[in-house]
Amino acid sequence: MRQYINKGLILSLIISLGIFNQACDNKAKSLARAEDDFAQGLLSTTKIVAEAKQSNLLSQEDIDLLKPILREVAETHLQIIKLTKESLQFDKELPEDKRALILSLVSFISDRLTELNNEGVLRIKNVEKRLLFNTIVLSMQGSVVIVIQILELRKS
Amino acid sequence: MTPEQIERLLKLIALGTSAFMEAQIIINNHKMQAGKTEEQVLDEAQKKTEEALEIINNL
Repeated sequence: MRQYINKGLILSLIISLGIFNQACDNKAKSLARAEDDFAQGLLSTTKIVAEAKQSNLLSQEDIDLLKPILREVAETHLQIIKLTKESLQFDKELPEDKRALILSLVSFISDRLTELNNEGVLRIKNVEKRLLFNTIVLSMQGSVVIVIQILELRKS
Repeated sequence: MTPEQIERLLKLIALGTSAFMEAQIIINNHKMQAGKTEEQVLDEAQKKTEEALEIINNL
């Protein structure tokens, strides 16, 4: 129970930081920032997995399970970045069709992150690395929530 | 304190430490984002994601 409370606290902290930034910045910058935060989290996560593999904390079987999820998340995020870049070329306003598409891609990532977290926490043997992995994936989920908030706000 | 309580406490401390480290990464990331245009920030995001993808493909 305490584990869930702590996860909730971490997620709240990340989201609060994002909301604070939104209040101080324009929406386009907030969106770009959230996507960059997510990319940073993704890079950190992949490095943890690579280190865990090198230290024999993850078997190749474990890697084969995590790899496709990580790849999907990365490739989808690249699509999101590309769409956001294209959209920002037009007066910093997001066209409705692009907004809807980005939202659906973000929703896909959100589902995959839950799967990634469950699989990673299950398979990483080292307690420290497991906790760090969990924390970073949680912060990525926080970034996803922020992106959704920004996209929903841009609709109005 | 029982051994189980001590173990739980240690895990909480480790979780707090991990959260603090991740918060530091985010704050440092935001500091680096300051003064950059949206396009530059997105270029950075793209670079990081591509780097992540390369690591993933080499796993």
